[in-house]
Amino acid sequence: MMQFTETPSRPLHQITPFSIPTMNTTNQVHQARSWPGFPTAKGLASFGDANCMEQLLVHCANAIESNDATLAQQILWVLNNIAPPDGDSNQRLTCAFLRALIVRAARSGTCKMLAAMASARCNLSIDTHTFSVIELANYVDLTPWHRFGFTAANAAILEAVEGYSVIHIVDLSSTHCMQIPTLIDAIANRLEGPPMVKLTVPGVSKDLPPMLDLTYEELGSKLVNFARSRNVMLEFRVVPSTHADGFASLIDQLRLQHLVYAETSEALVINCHMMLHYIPEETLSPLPNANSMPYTFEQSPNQSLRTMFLKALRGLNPTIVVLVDEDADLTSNNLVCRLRSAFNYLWIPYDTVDTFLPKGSKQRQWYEADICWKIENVIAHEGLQRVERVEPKSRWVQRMRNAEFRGASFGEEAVSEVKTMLDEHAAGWGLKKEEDDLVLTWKGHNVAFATAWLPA
Amino acid sequence: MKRDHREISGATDYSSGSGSRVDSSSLGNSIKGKLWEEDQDAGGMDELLAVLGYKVRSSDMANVAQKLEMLEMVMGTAQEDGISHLSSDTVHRNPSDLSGWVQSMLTELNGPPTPNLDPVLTTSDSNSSNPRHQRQQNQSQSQSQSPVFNDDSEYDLRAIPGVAAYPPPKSDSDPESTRKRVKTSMSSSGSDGYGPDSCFSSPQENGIPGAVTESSTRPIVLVDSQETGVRLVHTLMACAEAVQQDNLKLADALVKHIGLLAASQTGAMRKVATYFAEALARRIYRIFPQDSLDPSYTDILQMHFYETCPYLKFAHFTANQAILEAFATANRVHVIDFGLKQGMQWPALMQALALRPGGPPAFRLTGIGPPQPDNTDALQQVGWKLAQLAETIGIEFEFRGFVTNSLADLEPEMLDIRPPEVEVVAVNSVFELHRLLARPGGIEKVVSSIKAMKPKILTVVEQEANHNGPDFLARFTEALHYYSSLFDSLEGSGVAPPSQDLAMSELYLGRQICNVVACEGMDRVERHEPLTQWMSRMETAGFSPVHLGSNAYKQASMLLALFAGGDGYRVEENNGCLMLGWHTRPLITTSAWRLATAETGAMS
Repeated sequence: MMQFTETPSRPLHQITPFSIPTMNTTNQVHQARSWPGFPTAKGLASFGDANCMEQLLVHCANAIESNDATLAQQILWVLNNIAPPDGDSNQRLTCAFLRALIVRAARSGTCKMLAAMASARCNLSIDTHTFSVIELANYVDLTPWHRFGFTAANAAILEAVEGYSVIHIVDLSSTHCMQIPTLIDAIANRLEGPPMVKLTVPGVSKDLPPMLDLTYEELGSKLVNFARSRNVMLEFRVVPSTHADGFASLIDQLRLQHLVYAETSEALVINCHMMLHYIPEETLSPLPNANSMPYTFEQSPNQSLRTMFLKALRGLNPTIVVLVDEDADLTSNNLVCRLRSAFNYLWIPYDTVDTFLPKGSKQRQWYEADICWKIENVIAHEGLQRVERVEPKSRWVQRMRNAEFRGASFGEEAVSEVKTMLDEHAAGWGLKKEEDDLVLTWKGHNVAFATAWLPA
Repeated sequence: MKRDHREISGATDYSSGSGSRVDSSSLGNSIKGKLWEEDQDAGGMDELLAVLGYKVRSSDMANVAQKLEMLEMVMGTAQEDGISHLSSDTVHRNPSDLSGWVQSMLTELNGPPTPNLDPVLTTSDSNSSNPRHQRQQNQSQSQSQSPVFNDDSEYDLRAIPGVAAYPPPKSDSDPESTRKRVKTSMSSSGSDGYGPDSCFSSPQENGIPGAVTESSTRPIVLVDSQETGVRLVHTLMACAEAVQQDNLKLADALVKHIGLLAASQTGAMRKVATYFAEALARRIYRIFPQDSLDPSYTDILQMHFYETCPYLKFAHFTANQAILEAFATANRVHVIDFGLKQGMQWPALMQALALRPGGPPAFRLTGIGPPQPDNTDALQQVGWKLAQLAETIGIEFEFRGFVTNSLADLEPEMLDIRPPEVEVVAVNSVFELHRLLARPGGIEKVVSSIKAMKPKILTVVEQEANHNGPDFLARFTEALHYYSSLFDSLEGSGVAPPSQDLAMSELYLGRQICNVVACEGMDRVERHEPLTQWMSRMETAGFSPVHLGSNAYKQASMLLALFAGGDGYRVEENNGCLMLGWHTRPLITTSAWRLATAETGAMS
């Protein structure tokens, strides 16, 4: 007993700063080191779990970016323990970001990740599912995430193509034409009788989720059969093309057709469903080789592919362009900005999934794996590999206007169809009308937007 | 580096494995010594004979010129047979005549080389030659221009008593240093194989593997610093053995030599040898380290060790993992940290608790540490910083510091432990328990104290080594292996070489080496014992092992993989415990314990 000098037993945080002069210099050297917010008072001040997790992820990202191994390890340890992959939606969200940060760190080259992970039997690869057509159709039906855009776009297209006997639909969609059967169904039933429908899709070589287990040709023949059952003549055409060069070969093909068929009464419908954000935009620098610009008709090395693509679209003088995409900004070149932005957007799919898929179900694994894929792409990749370059509605509107499109308003029909569709889903979903545009919301937060455009 | 490492292991494995085994091929190297000792006085000769007690395995000697070996073996036999005239025989100074001289010696002795003719060679004079031989070999590497048999130096193996443990490498003036390390690539067949030309060719020539000297039957001559490394290890072992045998005169001579050999090395080997030489010197000259070194300085060194390599991080992560799991559902938790140091272990745990599903528990920390020489309250300063963190992350926090020189002085009732139904207690000890083995009854006292604290979990991190055996030489050998691996891993940790972190980490380990080697009795506190011994001790004391889960294993592996820098680190699971090692050698072990069922039943 006598050998002890016991220190006061009251909780230390009640003690005002004491005996500062006795702190020796060596201690001071190390004070700056060790832990975020240790002892800075800011940082984790808000106690909401999601906020704390976001804060930790940001700290972790900063530590990884500044190569601060000790700090990164500590935060990774914490995150690993507070974000189980089978936890609540925030935990699963955090887990996905954590995994993406680990992949990023592993890609930074300072570590021998792969060998060690293999030995630890840790599996970082995401098990993205390859859907059958039926599975994909069911999957897309589960949530308004895609159905919102389908419904709004189809209504706008139907209205725009009224009176045309030939309708050429260019379907730039991430959902493998899942929107088209409904559209054909609607067109088949129009009063003036079914038109002939030409469907052109870009044969995107690199698979983006959701992935389909069919070739485009197989998919095309299924669609042709479906159209025939509705007494609609469907011509299906795949133009091998990639988002990486702004669908250059598709645009070329369409320009050719435009020259041939411009005088006929063919409606040209450009349906862009959550696809255009894959086209490289301004933050992807340097631009893909300026000497080999993908568009043969226009050489403007100061413009992004995204801008040039929209200008090329405008040059086709389409009857209508429908642009549906996710309403977020994942384009920043700053990792932390992107992380914050993605974290504050992608909580939504995790939050909604509880409303339509039971825990542990296969569909839920597929669904979450695709979100994981997106998060990893945003966080762990850079350059051309980072394809999830989602932009907010306001920026797309500006882009379309710059490309000399003018906004077209969704009619009452479209609004009511979307509302009817939303009624089939959970209560958290909502619809906002912003000027001409429709916005899908979850618990008041913007999820996706639908805009319709005509040549100005 | 890794090759060096292998050399060390290989060589010392052998020596430690069977201390008495001596290969005849290494014997009688004294003849070589005599070759250059000729002009030194007779006392030098005696001294030379005294430098004995050295064991080498035959494979190490494969690189010694065979002719000389034959001669040397004969010499060795001859000496044992009492044929001493050779020692005082006239030695040819003319290098060009060496071959003939060697041949004549062989003829004269007429003894065919018989390997292993003297399996046990422990008396001081029978072992005489090898260290000398090593020295010749090693020093030869650093330079070479001058002819071998220069007498231009007064180097004397007896050296001057009382000088620094290891004199600076004065290779330029050392006659021995002009000697070449020679290595034959073939077994001897001819009788004339080893000529002066090959012996004394320039290092440039020698350095080329496979360089062929003038005579086609001549062995190929090599200079190989890894061979020097082997010599270095052998000399360290020889010195330790001399210490063990209380042959301080010999030990003194050898320890001086180690410095020279170490100087020819690079990287981890040089560093580790230097620390061991220093420790041996301290033991020989009884200049013991000040154990009362400022503990805050120790803390600082440990912080650098923490930064440089994954060992302490691994210790903290794995222990915290077990603690976090044990705390899973508790509303009030209490960690008793047997060595608070700078408190580096706790921010991560606090953060994890703060974000625990279901809300954070109240967190209480009892930090124990040594008194500071300037009476500053180091514990309280750490506690204060942790309190600030706790406030930031929104976790209720309570801290107490206890200053004590030994955990054995700690009485559980002082800790104001609340009943298990009120607070869940974890006792955490990182590199602390082995120190109690220095004090009679110390560990028993502390173990019974821990039991009285009724922890839900006890986490123990210890060095995975046996540095607590009664036999000095065995301890020395084990420590040499252990710290060679550790230093090797530090080299490979990706820290840029002129790094303060690295230097301080080496200092941190160097102090442990010093304690293991130089200290005895109560002063020797680095009494590391392997997991098996801790397991039987803990189980006897009434604790049951808590298996660290695969989750902890995966996490530890992942965290190490991410930033370890080198890919030599390995996490492995052993009896539910986690070990972190460098390549195949486990270096630290985390184990977790709970009170055995009967006692928990009685307790609750």
